[in-house]
Amino acid sequence: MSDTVILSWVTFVYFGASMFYLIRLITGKELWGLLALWTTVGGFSAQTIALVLRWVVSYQLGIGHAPLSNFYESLIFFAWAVILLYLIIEWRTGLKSAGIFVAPLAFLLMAYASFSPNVNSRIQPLIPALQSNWLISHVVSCFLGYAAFTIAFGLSVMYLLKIVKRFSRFLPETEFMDDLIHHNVVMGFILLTLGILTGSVWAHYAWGSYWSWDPKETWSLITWLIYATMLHSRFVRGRQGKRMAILAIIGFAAVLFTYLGVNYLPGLHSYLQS
Amino acid sequence: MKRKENIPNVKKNVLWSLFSSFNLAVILLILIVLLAVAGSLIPQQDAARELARRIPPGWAAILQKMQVFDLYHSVWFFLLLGFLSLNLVSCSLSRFPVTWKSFRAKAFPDAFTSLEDMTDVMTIMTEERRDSALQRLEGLLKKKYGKVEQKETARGDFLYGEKGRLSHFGVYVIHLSILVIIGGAVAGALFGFNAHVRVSEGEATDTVQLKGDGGIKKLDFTVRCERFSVDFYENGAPREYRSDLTFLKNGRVVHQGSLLVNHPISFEGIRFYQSSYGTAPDGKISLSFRRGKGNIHRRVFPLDYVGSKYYTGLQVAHDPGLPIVASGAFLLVAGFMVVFFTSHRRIWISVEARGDRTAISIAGRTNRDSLGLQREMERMMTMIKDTGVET
Ligand code: HEM
Repeated sequence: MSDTVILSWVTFVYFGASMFYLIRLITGKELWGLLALWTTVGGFSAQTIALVLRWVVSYQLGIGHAPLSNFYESLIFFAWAVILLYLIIEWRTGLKSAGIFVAPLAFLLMAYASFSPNVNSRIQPLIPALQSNWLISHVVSCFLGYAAFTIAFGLSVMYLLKIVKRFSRFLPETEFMDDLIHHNVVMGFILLTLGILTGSVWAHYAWGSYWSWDPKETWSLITWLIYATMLHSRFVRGRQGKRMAILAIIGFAAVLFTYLGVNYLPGLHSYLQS
Repeated sequence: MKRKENIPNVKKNVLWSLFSSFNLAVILLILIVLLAVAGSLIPQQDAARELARRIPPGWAAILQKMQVFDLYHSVWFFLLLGFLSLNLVSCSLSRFPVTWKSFRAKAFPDAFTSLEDMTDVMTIMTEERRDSALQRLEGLLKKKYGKVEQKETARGDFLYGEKGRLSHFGVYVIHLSILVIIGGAVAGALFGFNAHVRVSEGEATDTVQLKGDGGIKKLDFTVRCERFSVDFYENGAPREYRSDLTFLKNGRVVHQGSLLVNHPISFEGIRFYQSSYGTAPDGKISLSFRRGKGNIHRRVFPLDYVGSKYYTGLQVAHDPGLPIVASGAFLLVAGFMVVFFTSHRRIWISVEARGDRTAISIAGRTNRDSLGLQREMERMMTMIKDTGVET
């Protein structure tokens, strides 16, 4: 079975896991939570195998490189990182109710990668600019950071729902969520910082300048500044709770724009050198 | 830095309190974000020329004057960066005395008695004798905290350990690193240059065309392109671009090397990058391969221009700010390590005889990550219990 076939099946597995997490939220029955967890673990294992397979196949094709080089691969890796981080959190804290706010996001990423006609899933050879180890560390740290921001986003939605009384029965305490949102944002911030720095080193070698205000660079800086402001309002002002949750959602919107939105900006191609 | 005594006086100054306020920082950060957003939406530099042609000339002239078409090099942007730097400096200076005090804080082995507000004092009762408990606890604390202070008081015996004092300075390292990076970037923008040049195979040049104003810059040496080659994968995508370059000074060959994408050549502080190529005589075909972050579809032109000469397009850059920015980046990462992975933890343990039993209490303080401290205290408590039974 080829890696892309496995990955499109994993999409459905994550959809199933999302449904189980939803049923758990509605009924409050732990059995569904357990089912959701093991479905997610199963999907994650299959996805990991598929990623390794894709890596191996690229070498068999004679164009070997880590599966982190095009849009398709980045979507898959993004979803993989989100689930990895989520599983670690569920394992470490016993938190199950966040699954319904996280698993569907992984499902959407996978579905977009597997079924959108705009996304080419073929293994492509690396053009010269992409032949760089800095690029790999750049992609890995950026997407791990994005994953942490994604979890913070899911938790923030959950937090806001908790404040609306009706949903509060099966959701954890607000302080616990607040703390977890903060920790994810801190982790995302560190990783995004590393991502921007390694990206700059790559740009320095590949493009002749560590920073050239290309829309993607600009938007990563915007994202970084939004999260920096958010962290300061906690460090300096001691702000917590609702305000932080809203800022985490705004920050995540900036993440999405950095990742997907900039491709639709006018003028991207005018950055091509004449 | 000003001496410490000066700070209260300075603080009364209105200007100072404005510049050291955190509100200003938030406003400046938001303004920088807005400027960056505007710059990504409005075509900039070369791309702006087309826009300028489509809108009324009066408007174009005004926008041009306002530097809207080069926001990232505009007076506005430099002003914002300047204010942010001032803000950062004054904010740090006004906070430093407090930090210094926490750093120099004396070890008070018996502070615990007066610190009723200490988070979660945990207490257990054991049958163990005071002396053996003290000895055991000292060993335990020493293992985790290095040095242990001890004090006997009327209320009982106290042990005290601490670690991570230096973590108070992490914030300053981070903020300094931001200043260093801004400084290096500005130095690069002011004193560096970015240029482009095309050299045909077998030919040489000592001038390059500056980006932006398009002026000509003369180099102190000559660069010659011996050969350019391009190599393709089976599917037609490029595998490698290579220019064999020779650097000459006063007609003498000083340096030779192959230039590849991702492997620039640096000569006399000036870096050369492989950036484009084409065929030399009429220059009709010009392929560029800048800015492909993975998901841009590119068209590949078949090259049936066999026989005609190539030219190589070189990007030529000089950035004296680079080492400054790089050291700023190192400082930033180092500061992050300190701030996010260390904390100033202080632990007090008291051993107090109560009748024929002994009460062991443990309390702690930290400048951040109180949850982490609490977990550590809980672990210590379990260890105290576990080893306590046998004695
Ligand atoms: C834009 C880049 C900036 C970054 C990456 C940054 C980073 C940080 C970090 C990580 C902390 C947390 C330190 C801790 O937990 O102890 C912090 C604290 C702080 N920052 Fe910034 N900062 C930036 C800009 C600023 C600016 C412009 C100001 C303006 C005055 C500022 C003022 C402060 C203050 C007052 C604190 C609290 C220090 C304390 O708790 O003692 N920061 N900063």
